[in-house]
Formats: sequence, structure tokens, C-alpha cells
Amino acid sequence: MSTEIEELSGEELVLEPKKEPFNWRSFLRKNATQLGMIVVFFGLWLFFILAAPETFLSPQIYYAYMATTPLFAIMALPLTMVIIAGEIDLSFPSIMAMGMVAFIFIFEPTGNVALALIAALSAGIASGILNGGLVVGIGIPSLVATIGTQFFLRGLSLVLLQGQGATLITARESFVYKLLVGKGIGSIPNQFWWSLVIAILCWIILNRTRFGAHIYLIGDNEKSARLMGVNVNRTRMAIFIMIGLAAALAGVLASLQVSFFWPSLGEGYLLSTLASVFLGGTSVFGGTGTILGTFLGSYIIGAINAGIVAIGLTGFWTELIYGLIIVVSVSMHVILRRRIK
Amino acid sequence: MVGLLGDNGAGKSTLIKILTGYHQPSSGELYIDGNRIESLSVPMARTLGIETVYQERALAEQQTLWRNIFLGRELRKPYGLLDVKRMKNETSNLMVQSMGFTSSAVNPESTIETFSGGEKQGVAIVRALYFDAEIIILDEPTMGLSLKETRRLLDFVRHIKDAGKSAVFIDHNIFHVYSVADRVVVLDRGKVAGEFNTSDISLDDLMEKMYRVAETGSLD
Repeated sequence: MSTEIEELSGEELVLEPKKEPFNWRSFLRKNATQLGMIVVFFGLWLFFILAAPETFLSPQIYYAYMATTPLFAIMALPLTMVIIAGEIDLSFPSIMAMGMVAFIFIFEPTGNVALALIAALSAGIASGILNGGLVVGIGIPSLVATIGTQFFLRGLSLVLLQGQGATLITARESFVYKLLVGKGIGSIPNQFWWSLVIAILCWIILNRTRFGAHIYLIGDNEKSARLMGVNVNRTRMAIFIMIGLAAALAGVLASLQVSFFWPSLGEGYLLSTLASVFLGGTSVFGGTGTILGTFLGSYIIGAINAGIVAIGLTGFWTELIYGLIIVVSVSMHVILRRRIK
Repeated sequence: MVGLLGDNGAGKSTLIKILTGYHQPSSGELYIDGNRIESLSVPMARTLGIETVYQERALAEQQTLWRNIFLGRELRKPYGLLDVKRMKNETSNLMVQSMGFTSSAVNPESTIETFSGGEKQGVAIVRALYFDAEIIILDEPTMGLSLKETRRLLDFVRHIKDAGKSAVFIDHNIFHVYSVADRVVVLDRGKVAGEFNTSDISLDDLMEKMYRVAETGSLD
């Protein structure tokens, strides 16, 4: 387009600034999901403070909360894009472990945490390429393909390390350790800041790039996207790589945090991550979903996790509640959409 | 203005999808403005000025109006990020000038699923015009439209011709094609069965020939 148009629209903005009065009703309607979630979040918080005041009025729980929630928030954010594109990835818990296997392969002989981190992220990218290749190249539905790679990658990491864990105590002195899981501004764990940075990055990618626009399009109507010249395969490949990369990073954070690698790393993250995405209002059918929704969703899920234990219920309840959240939020979404139509 | 006619399965839609780069031809050659084109892709066709209004409309229903207008060709700022403000502004202008949406319920942020069939078709057509097309291909554009909407559409198709642009018009309805096309090409089972100028042939004769092609595979 010529610069003329730009000047024209620029001029228009100066000459007739849209003096529409701020419309509360349309604002509320447009952001109903997110606002509802913020209300739920604070309601839940109040409930937990009343139910277990000695726990929820002390800072320790908040430290733990902000250290553990980011681990699945970091994966839930790119997973949102995968689901908006009409795909799914169930292999990310195993990619967490796979990344750490690569980490340990470099870390044990060299002691270099930065190199080990690069190895872990590369393994994450490679796992993403494997998933993307199965879905895009061979044409297997992503649900089946990633169930397959979930077991394959878990098995591979067990075989490579003979099912052994590994200590990461010596990594604690490194700069990378402090950068990733140290305490930053206001003694808030850095994991939290990382989740915030990744959320902002994901928001920009999804809302302000062509790639992001195409994610919505192929999830909404793949045929239309193809007819209009969108490179569907390349977009799909890229989203699988992104979730692979994020899962490997989450694996490194989770392991460095406890200074130990457990071969079972990642188990237990599947439910909380999926629940965060669906609680955040992303459609199971693809085409709609927001990064803000998922970000809020993961911190609500994290709060529920902390709360359930603090008010004296057993951990068994968490699975029940997460499962319930997935079923209820997905059903709500389907029912609401039917009403729109 | 070329009308493309043919019974179901004659290869109209396949031909269109080759012209727009969606399908690759299994044989034959493709010339645009006298230049031979090897392996045409959808973005390439759009750069060459071929715009298409598809039978299936190629809209993304859950997305907003502005996203649909700029589908696959989003405007960007110099450093690569989307220029959302400009796309919304352009959409607002198009709505008033070309689509004739005056209802305040519709704005660039409205999702396509809330539109009527005619409004959706309007979006698909305005999208094709926005990007300075040289050739506009209309693939069964009257499908799913009410009578009034069909009349508006046919007026609109004539307007393309007046604007000095070429168009290929495909419709199952011979009356629609005859009323707007200068030249009619009859397809049968993937081959051109015949070509007529609408000024040289009456509607009745054309219909007669169409029936004969469908039954016998030849015009005479």
C-alpha cells in the first residue's frame, strides 16, 4: 500500500478523534470471560484465607505458589496456541524429561550450565519437530501422534539414563541457575518473571504477527486459510516446536528448583496445564482463545493446588478438581457458543 | 466477462482452483498475460492480481470482520508487527463505502458468524476488490443468497465490468451467467465443449446446447 493511505488514516485520527463515550456494557461483554476469572481468582483467595488463615496469611505459601505455578504456566501459554490452531500436544510432560536428559548429558561431563541449557532447549525443539513431522508430514491426527510420542520420549529418556536420577547441586553456583530460579525483584522467584515474560511474548506472537493471525485462521477454518494462501503446514510445524521449546525450559526450571532430576519429571503436569488452557476459555474446537485467559487460568489452577493441601484435603482431591474444571469449562464453552449461534 | 458453464462434475471448480494456485494441474500449461507460469501458488496468484470469491466463501466464521478482510494478507508495520489499527480503519471505511453496512450492530470487531448469507458474500467480494485485482473469479457467488441479495450481486458483477476489470463468472444458473457474461465457455468432463459470445447466441439456443452436451458429450 502507498504511504498516502497511512497519511490519510493518520489525519483522520487527528481530525475526528472517535469521541465515543466509554461503554461499560460493551467492555464488560467483550471481556466477560477474563473479568469473570479475575473475580473467581479473588473469591478463591478470600475463601482460602478464611479456610486456612495461618497458611494464607504467611508469605511462604506465596513464595511456593509463585515458584511452582510458572512451571505449567510456561507450557500452558504455547499450548493455548496449539489448541487455537485446532491441534493438541499431550507429549509435553515427556519433553520436559527429554530436555533434562540432554541437559545432564552435557552438564555431567562439562559442568557448564549454560551449555546444558542450550542442549535441553535443542532437545525440546527436536521433540517439537518430531511431533510436527508426524502431524504435518505424515498426516497423523495430533491427538494420536502426541500420545505416541509421549510414551516414546518418556521411554527414550528412561533408557538413556537407565532410569536413574541425577543431582544438580553443583549447578547452584552458576549464573544461569540464579537467572532462571533465583530470587529477583522484591524476592519474588524468577520463575514468576519468566512466566510473565513468556506470556507477553506469546501475546505479541498471537495478536500482533501474521503467524499469530494464521494460528487463529487455521484453527477456525483450515480450508479457508489454504484458499487464502496461508502456509498451513509451516504454521503447524512452528507451534509444535514452540510447545517443545517451552516444555524443555519448564523441565529445566522444575529440576533446577529442586536441584535434582527425577526420571519421572513431567508426570502430574498434564492435567494442570490442560486445565489452565481450558479454564482460560480456549475452545477445544480451535479458532478462539486468549493468552490472558490462560495466564489467569494457570494462576487460578496454582491457587487451587496450594489451597487444597493447605485446607487439609489430600492430594487426591487435586486430580478430581482439575478433571472437573476441564469438563465444566469445556462444556460451558460449547453451551455458550451454541447460544451465540 | 467470461461465464463458465457446465453440469455438476464438469470441472468448473477444479479449473478455478488451478487458476488460483490452490491445485496444481496434472497436465497442460498456464499463461497469464501471455507469460507461461510454472507451479502457481496461492500467494503468487494474488500478487499477479487474481482474486477469487469462492463458492465456500473462504471466511473464518469465528474471527472478526477485519481479520477476514485481511485474511492471508495482513497489513504490517515496517518492523513486521501487524498494523491492527490500520486494518480496522480500512475495514470501517470499506464497510461504509462498499459493503453498505450501516447498522451500528456491525463493526470491524463483529465476528462473521453473526452475518447473513448475503453479508458474508459481501465480505468475500469486498475482500477481492480491496486488493486491486486484475481478474476477479466468482465461483458460484449466488449460492445461498436470497432473491434480493442475488439481484444486488448481479448488479455488482456488472459493476466489475464497468470498472474495466476482467472477471470469470461461474454459476449453476444459466440465466445469471447469460445476463452478465460477454462470452460463455461450456465445460464438459474436464474439457472445453464450446465457446459462444452472448451477443451471437440466444438464451434458448444456449440452453439447448447445454442439455445436449450433458446427454451426449457433444454440442451438435
